[in-house]
Amino acid sequence: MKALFRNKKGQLFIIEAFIAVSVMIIMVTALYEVQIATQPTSEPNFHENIYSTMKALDNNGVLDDFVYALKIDSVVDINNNKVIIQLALYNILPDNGEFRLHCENVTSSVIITNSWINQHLSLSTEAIGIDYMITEIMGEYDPCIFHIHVWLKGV
Amino acid sequence: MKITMLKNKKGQVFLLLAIVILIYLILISTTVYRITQSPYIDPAPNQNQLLNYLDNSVSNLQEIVEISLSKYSMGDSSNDIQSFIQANIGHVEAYLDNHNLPATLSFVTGSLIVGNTSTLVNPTYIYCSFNISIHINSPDLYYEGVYSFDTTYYLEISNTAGTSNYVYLYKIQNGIQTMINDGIINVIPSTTVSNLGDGRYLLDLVGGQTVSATLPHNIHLWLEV
Repeated sequence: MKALFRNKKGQLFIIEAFIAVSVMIIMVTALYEVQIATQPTSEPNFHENIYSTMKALDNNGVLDDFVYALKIDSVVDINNNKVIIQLALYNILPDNGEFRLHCENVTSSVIITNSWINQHLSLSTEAIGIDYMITEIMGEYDPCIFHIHVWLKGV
Repeated sequence: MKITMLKNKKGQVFLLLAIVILIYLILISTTVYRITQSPYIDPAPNQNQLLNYLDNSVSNLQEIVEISLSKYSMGDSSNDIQSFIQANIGHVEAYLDNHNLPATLSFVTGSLIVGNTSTLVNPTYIYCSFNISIHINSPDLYYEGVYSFDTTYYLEISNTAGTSNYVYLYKIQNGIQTMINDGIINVIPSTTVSNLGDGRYLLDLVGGQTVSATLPHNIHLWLEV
């Protein structure tokens, strides 16, 4: 072993071996970092939660009341139902979650102007679109589709 | 050369290192290959999302049943109801089509049963049932099924006359009974009605009165006491 240190070739060999081991360690570390970086972040299941919430709002008559209020242009009822819908949707989103909602009349393909919730918010490029349809309002045939966009702020 | 290398101590160490490096290189290339083949790069379509749209469509067909009952309770004929259903299931089909679920919905006209019972017999009820077949053929979801919609709304009184009678409002939808606590009861000649909040409405009745109920979805029922 001592001979290896004294010998010039031996010293070069030790340096070479040291460099080889270092390169290997660096490569393995780099690979580990790449693997971590390419792991997908766990995406919250917005679609499922939003659908369940909209269904619950439908079953409780909130969506029917909202569309009926829009039809008869009752500002108080429109605002009350908007608050209920907002609370329900924010409740299932994380703190940095945001959404935009509007309602479209299927028969006329026209967006109901007063149906907008959070219209002032700019849509994120990462937004997820979810639709929910209702057909009956107070026994009348009047199909409407709620278009909901959901995204996370700062992501 | 080979023999010299194997006999030489440095040569042995060199060979050992060469083997170790070779193993590392194989491991590295295997890991890189696995990363590039990651299933997250091209995720499969979410089946739950598609099933939610199917579920939403079925709810809308159920709403067509409620509209049919409302229309029938206000004087439409069975033929009117048949025409109404035939004319309006198209929007549900379009809804599925617009969500990557090319669908064909067929109303089985022969399955339509709509009617109500005598307003003189307790309980009185109104019913509607029909079948709709749904066929979906998309690369993401294949579905073939017949949905049976069967809904009956009841108005029942506990006794035809006397004090502290109950009016019961309930519906049976595909065999499941649900009490209705948000109906509106009107009695002629007038009497006080208390909604007990569980599908029961407390009132006093005398012979000759008419009890009418406005149920959710604007469905009307009445009973002559």
